Amino acid sequence: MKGRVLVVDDDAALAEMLGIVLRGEGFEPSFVSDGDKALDAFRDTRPDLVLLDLMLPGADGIDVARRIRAESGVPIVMLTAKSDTIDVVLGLESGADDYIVKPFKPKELVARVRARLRRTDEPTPEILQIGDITIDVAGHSVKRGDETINLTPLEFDLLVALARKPRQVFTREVLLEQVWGYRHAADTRLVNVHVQRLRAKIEKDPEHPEIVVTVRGVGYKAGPA
Amino acid sequence: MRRVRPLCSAAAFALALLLAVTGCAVIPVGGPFPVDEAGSGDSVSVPFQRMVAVAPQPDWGPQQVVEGMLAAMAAYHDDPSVLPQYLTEEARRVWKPDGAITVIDNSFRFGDLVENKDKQETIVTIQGNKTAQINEDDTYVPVSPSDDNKINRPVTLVKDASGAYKVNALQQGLLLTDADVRRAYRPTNLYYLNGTSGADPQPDRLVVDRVRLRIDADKSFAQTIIERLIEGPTSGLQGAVGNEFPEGARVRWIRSSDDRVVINLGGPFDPGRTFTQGLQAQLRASLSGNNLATGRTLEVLLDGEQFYSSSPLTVPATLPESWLGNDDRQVFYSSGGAVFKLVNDGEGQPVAGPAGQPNHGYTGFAMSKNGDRIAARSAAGGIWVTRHALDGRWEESIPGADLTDPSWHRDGSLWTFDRQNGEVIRSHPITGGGPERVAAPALQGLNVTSLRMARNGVRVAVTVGSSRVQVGALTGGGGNAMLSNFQTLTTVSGSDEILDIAWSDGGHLLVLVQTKAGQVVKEINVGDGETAQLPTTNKRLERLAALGDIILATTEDSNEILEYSRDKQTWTPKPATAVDHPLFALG
Amino acid sequence: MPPTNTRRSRRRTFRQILGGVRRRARRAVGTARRIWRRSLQLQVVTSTLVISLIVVVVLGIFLSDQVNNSVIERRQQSAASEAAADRLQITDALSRRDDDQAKSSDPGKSVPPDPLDEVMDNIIGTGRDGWKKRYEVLILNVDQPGRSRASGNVSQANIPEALQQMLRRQAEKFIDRPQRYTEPIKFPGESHPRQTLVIGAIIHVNGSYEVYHFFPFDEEEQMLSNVRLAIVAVGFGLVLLLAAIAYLVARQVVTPVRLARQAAERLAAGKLDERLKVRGEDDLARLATSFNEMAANLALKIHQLEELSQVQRQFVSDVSHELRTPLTTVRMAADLLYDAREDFEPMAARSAELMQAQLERFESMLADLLEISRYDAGAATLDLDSVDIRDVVLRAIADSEALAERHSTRFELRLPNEPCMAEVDNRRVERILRNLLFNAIEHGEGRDVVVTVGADRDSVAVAVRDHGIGLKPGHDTLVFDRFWRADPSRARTIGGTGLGLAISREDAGLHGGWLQAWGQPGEGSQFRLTLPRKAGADLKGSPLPLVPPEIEMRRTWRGGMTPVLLPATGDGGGHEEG
Repeated sequence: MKGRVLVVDDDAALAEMLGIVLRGEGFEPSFVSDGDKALDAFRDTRPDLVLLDLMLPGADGIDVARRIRAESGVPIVMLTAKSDTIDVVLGLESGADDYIVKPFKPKELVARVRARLRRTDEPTPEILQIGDITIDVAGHSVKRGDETINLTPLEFDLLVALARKPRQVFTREVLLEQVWGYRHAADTRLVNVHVQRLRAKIEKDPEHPEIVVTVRGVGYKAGPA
Repeated sequence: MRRVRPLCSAAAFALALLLAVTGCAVIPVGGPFPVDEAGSGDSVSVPFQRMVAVAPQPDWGPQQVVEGMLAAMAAYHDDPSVLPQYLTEEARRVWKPDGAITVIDNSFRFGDLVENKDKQETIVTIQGNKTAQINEDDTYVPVSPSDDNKINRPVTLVKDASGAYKVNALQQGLLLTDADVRRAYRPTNLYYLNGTSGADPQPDRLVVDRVRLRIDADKSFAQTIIERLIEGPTSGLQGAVGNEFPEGARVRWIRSSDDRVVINLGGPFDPGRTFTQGLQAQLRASLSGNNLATGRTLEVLLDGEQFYSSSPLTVPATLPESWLGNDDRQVFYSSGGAVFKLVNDGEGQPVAGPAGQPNHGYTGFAMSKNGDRIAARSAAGGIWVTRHALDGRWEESIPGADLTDPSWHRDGSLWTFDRQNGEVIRSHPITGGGPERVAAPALQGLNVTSLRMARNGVRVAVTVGSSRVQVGALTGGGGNAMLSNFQTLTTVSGSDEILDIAWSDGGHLLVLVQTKAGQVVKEINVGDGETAQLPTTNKRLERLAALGDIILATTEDSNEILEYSRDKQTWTPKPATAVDHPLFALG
Repeated sequence: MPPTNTRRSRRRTFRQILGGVRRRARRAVGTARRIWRRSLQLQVVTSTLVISLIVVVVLGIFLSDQVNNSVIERRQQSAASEAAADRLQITDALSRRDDDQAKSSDPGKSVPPDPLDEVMDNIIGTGRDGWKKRYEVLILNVDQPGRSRASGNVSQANIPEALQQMLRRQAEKFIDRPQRYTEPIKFPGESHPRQTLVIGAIIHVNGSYEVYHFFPFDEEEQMLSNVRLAIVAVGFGLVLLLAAIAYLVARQVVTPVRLARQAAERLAAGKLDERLKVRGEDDLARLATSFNEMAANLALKIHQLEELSQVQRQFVSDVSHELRTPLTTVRMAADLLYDAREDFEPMAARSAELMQAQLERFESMLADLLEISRYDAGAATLDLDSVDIRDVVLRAIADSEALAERHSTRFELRLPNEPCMAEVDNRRVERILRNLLFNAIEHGEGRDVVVTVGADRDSVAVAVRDHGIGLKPGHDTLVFDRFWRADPSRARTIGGTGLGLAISREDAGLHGGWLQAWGQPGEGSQFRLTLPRKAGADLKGSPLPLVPPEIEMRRTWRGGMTPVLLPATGDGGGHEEG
């Protein structure tokens, strides 16, 4: 399995420690310590996953995430010392798929990284249709008519999870488990932010969603209400 | 702190207000302002005192008991409960207070006690001089001092069970002393009209009637007066005067304020047919004539409402002069058989017409009302009349051999007494009515030496001989005319003789008396005989004439006119000489 | 069934009338008292009214007394002097009488009137027509006939009995002092009695004459009653005027005070830029100026404090965050070491273990510190959700199960049957309960922990009861203090951070709820969490008692006295059980 991980962190000790842990788990870490250089390093290494510290010299983590996301749908996991809502939401909205609050255990980090990398391992040939959206699960593409919609892997997973069981309502906790791989209830804001991002891409009018619909007080479901 | 401020201001305000209020209480300076007379608030009553009768004391002697009884008599009208305490059972039953009141002088005394042992009686005799009597019609009749006026009133007393003296027998009627009368009675003038309102001509003069009214403590004196006025004239004027108050009228109440007196009448008034001026004049004169309600308007109500249905009846504060008849004050005099008009300076002017021409054949001139006719007695006999005009001429009006001097009545008739036949004759020179006899039963057979009609035409005075003056009244109207109600006014005794009489006003007669000591002029109130003696002069007076306040006399020696001044109480000469007789119109 | 309804309603009506009236009266009194207490203006006006009323009444009484005295006394004096003068005349006249009578014996001469009549005429002015004295005179000689006189309409019956008796008694003792007597007398011929002053005296000349003067006082009485009426009217007007003035003045003062109060209230509500308008230079303007200065200073101070605490909180937050990165590194390294400890020598292996354990503790402490600092910064917000509190409790118990097992502690659950729905922040409430449960397990010494859930209309409550060593008196508030421990020497076995209860207290407060503790040495302790069903609603009471029922009952039994609850130790303290 491929395991190239780009670690963007200014703290040399932490970066090194991360490298030790990741290597120990069979990943191939590469490092960059400056936000400004992070994009170049990303282009050079073409990692399967980016570990991004939010507090960086030069361009900060949120900028970096936004730039990477502009180029690629590669999973981004943020490392943050601040678990406050604002920071987390900002990070998620700028394109991060998941986040880990410092301090974390090496196992936790590894679990998250694995979870983000896992999906690419099990391609199932399947075509899903929801509303006017066509999802080619194996082909990993989403189309509205002929128009291809670019989704990040996480967004794709979220959409597929919902689309596989249309009209079934998923609670946020269920989605967290299915899409993010969390064992127990964690931060449901992850779900909220990513549903917003997904809607921004696939809905005609994100203000009045038709594909991913909110069921008040419970969660979300795919398909018209 | 916050609370103190409003309280402080409130206290300051209260203080300021208090100062302002007390400042107002300071007597304001300024003036002069007219001041009301003390006691002027009540103008319908008079101050008076009364005898207070006390119950007899057991230790009083007989004389004291009689004295007490007399006091109780004086107080009888105020408090009739005391007098019976002096009387025994029997006396109470027998004795009546009614009838004329006998008035004795203050210096009465008690005669010696006579004890009648058999009957266990004690007799006390009241000895004194009777001065007058007050009749039941309230006339006060004085007893002339020349009459025998001694009085002896025995009063019989017995001892009652408790040993106190009680009066067992006394003469009927009340016995008062002069002081009692003075205390409780007031001489009062009532005014009636010189004719009834229906007659022609309308009454135009007031006739005074004099009474003694007892002051009633329970009502105002004005009420007493008006109630007496309603009752009608005294006997002397009975049938001779008119009264605008109907019989049965009464006074409900009288109230006085600063500027008006309200009289609430009741009874059978007929406002539509009432002779208003007469009623007004009667009320006004009867109150003002007794110094009541002077200067105040009278408002007459009938049963508490306006007298007339549309307007109130008010009586002005002053009585029109004409009612008392002092209008024509021109003085005339006769001189040598001619009549002159007295002027302020120099000799008098002879009157127009034949009367102004000296003619010794005429004496006893008389001027008619308004002075337009002159009557005189001719030496040849008969009464002759001429008009007071250039074209007038003497005409015989009443023939007769022995007539008294003529006297004009205000209705234009000419009166005289035919001494020959003992008859009263009158004629109507204006209408040409011939002489006619007028009944005068009281004068029958009397030696009437003069006859004078009063100016108001009601009273008539005659001189009987030269010692007595009688006053009567003209009663009945028109053809039924009659001289009656004669009462003796005054008499002179001994060698005194009455020289002349003259009416000054309707209530007073002047009498010129020749006495041994000299001449006296008496002004006698014909109502109650009250006599005022005018001061004499050293000149001998011959004839009198009077009009109201003016009193004129001629002197025997110098034939001049003297006028009596009431203020200075002296006689002063007028600018005229050779006067035989002063004259006023009528009288 | 309409008839039943009617009957019942009628019965109720009767009872309601009584109750209603009482209730309404009580409410009216309450309202009046409240209005009175709250309105300075009313107080000023009322006190002015009362005081001025008293002043006016006193003044009026004084004034009318004064007027009374001056009028009546003057009149009495003048009456007395008039009466004395008259008596002098009478005495004079009576003593002349003997001589006159001696003289009058001359016959023929006109007899002069009785001097008694003469003097009476003089006194009452009979001679002067229409002029009337204001008083009447009565001379009474009961011993001699015809020696009594009266003026006007007075009669013997008008003499006051007491006055006459007094005079006669005096006469027996040879005293001749004039006496006066005032009473309403009805004179003959008059319809109403008149207030009359009667002055009586006895003259001893040729017998004893009682002389009475009757002075009618009805005019004075009329005048005095007019004066009294005027005083009353003026006084009444004055009181009203004063009340009006007090009202105006109070309004002038109270209006700015009210404005100041409103401004102060707004200031208290946090509007620091609230200022008063300053007009003029009077006391009130100065008050406004001072108020404004105070507000400005307050705003400045608050601003400074805010900045200061902002800086401090930022510092704490930054420190915590800065600590995290190295901690992460350390943590990871420690984890690696710990995982590999079997390869180490025993000493190094144990070290790795210890490091691992303490790192965990350090970490949770840091987390709690951060949480606390978030509260201090006021940054804590609620993520409300309607949940069944029983589920939350069960979840928390599930979380604590492992620890409980380790301490061989069993949970005893007392849950109501029906759902206990409340609007709460799930995460925080769970944290509170977890903290309480951990705490109970830690201090429960292995005995059962009782968890009770209760609910009423407005609130839900969870009580966690342990049977451990309990709390000493006064410790029931201290337990919520940061890093507080009952026995400093006692080690933390579970490894609590010392901030758990403090955070829990903050969490409860954030919900508008209470977290209270009760404890007794040897009896264990109980912690009660009370939360409003609707977030932010005011709590009036708790569905569960703070003191466990069995303890309460035992205390009542033992002491035979009414249960006295320990002072509630809620966030505000003191509103236990409403």
